[in-house]
Amino acid sequence: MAEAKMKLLIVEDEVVIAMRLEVFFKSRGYEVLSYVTTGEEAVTKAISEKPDLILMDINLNGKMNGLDAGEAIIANSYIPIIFITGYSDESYRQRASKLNPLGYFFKPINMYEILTALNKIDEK
Amino acid sequence: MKNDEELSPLVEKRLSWIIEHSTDVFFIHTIDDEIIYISPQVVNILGCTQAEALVKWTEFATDHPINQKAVINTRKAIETGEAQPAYEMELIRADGNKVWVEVRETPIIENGKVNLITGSLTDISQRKRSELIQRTLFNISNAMIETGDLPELFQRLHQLLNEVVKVSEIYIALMDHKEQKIQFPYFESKYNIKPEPVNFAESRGLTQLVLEKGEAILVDSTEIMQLQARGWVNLQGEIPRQWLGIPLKTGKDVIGVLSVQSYEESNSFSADDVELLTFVSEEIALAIRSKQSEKQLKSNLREKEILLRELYHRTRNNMEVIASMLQMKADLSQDEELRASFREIVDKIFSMSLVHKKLYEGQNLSQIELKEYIEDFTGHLLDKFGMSNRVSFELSLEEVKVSIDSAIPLGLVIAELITNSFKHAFAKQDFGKICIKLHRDRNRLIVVEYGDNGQGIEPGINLRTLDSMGVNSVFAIVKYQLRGSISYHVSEGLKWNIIFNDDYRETRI
Repeated sequence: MAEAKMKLLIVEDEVVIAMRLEVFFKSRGYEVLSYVTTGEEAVTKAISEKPDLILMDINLNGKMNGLDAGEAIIANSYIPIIFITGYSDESYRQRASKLNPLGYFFKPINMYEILTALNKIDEK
Repeated sequence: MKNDEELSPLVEKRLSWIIEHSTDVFFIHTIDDEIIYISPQVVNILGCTQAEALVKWTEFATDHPINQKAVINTRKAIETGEAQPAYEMELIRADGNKVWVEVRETPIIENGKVNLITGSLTDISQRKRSELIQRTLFNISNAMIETGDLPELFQRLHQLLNEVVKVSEIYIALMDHKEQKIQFPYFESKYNIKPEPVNFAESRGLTQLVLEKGEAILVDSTEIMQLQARGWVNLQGEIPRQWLGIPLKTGKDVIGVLSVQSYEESNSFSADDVELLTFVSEEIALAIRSKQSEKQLKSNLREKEILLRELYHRTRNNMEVIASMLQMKADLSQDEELRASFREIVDKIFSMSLVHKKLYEGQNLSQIELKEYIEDFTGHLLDKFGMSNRVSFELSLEEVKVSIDSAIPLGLVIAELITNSFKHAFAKQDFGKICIKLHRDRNRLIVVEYGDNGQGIEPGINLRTLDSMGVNSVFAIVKYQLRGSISYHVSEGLKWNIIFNDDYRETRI
């Protein structure tokens, strides 16, 4: 049921892509927090808003990338993360795998791929 | 005709002229190696008088391994009575300096046995020195080619110089003209520690003196003290017995200094050493300069590669943003036709952005592997259209590399063909199959065969004249952009054949 669906935090420095994610998931009944564009903002918002899931781009502007932010968030409280990246960099993937993410997807974003991953959580 | 008795004084006089005025030394020694005669020129070659030289010839031989040959040849001449081929020896002069000679000797046979050996010595020191210099120059130029970087080059230069002059204490200083500093990239010494870079203007060392004058300086400890006392130099650390600095010049530019130092009496530098090091210093400077340029070139190339990768990445990112805007518009629209049109455009954008992704992720920044590209692309479209359960791809792809100029248009064509198959070919069947084959033919032309097993097209329809922007673009792109040929036929589905040449394109990147 849409009413019971999760609260998402989108972390993406390309605003158009963040907007698209927001529109797509809102239209499917998810509660989407206003997106953030830096790793630092992601950590702050994750702590204050306690989303059920974070969609995190890895390459972000600023000093913290998505992996840094993910590590900082996980160290604080466990929130499932789906990483999204434009780079097929094996070192990124290895670092991300230590955070036991819910998904690791490449750009261009396939919304249905993410949706399938979210549905699995919903079912639980 | 005069007889031998009458000629004798004249012959003797002429022989004496030859012996006294020859640059060679003539000698006679017994079979026990005792010299019993040596010509007056011995004073020039060995630095001693004729009387002083009447000792065993072996006393003039140094411990150089080449002298073993002399012993062997002399013994053989005595045993066989036959003259042996000329050979080289290193001898020691009365003043302690070494001299290279070529020896030619012949046994003198009296009463059927060898009693004496007679021969000549030719001073070949200059020739040996030239050979040594040539060899060292050759080795330095080889070192320039064979070594990977500056530290390795310095190490090799040290080894090479050690073969010609004993140089255990050595450093190479380089002038950084931009920073106006003297750097010491190579410094080997038991007596002093490697100095930090010093400001040229503030330095009052011997190195700075050589850099300033552009000439070699050889000074001993007394002279160094005098220079210190006059305030001309201010040296740190232990003062050597001898300090030799050779400017490293390329043309008129002094790029640095090669310095060797002696702290022990047994190891002194001769004028010959200074001459030799000066002679090879230009080759050393050239090797260093070349290695520095090589390093700079590599660094520039790396920087350009990084920039180009970043540019490809940003281009792809921008395409992603455009695709997202269109996709968002499609998601919000209720108009199914508009949504489908936008999706098609997004797929085309993806086909182009994937080329850029392959370029920035690949080893080669101007070409991509079509095989990988088609594999990734078809996989993506299956997921995107949610067709995994209805359509399968059968790919038979050889490895074919193409330039970005061919990859982009070909990607657009394949995207259109796949979209059409998805949209029209399988309308009347539950499952469909799309086959794509790729290879280069014997003329290196690239051949792409595309076919689905769908319903084909209705008889009488000519796709070349069809009013469809998508299909028109397929023909136009192959003809005008790929400069290739395209044909189609219906045979258990619609089959396409595309042939084009990527080799004629000039490399633009």
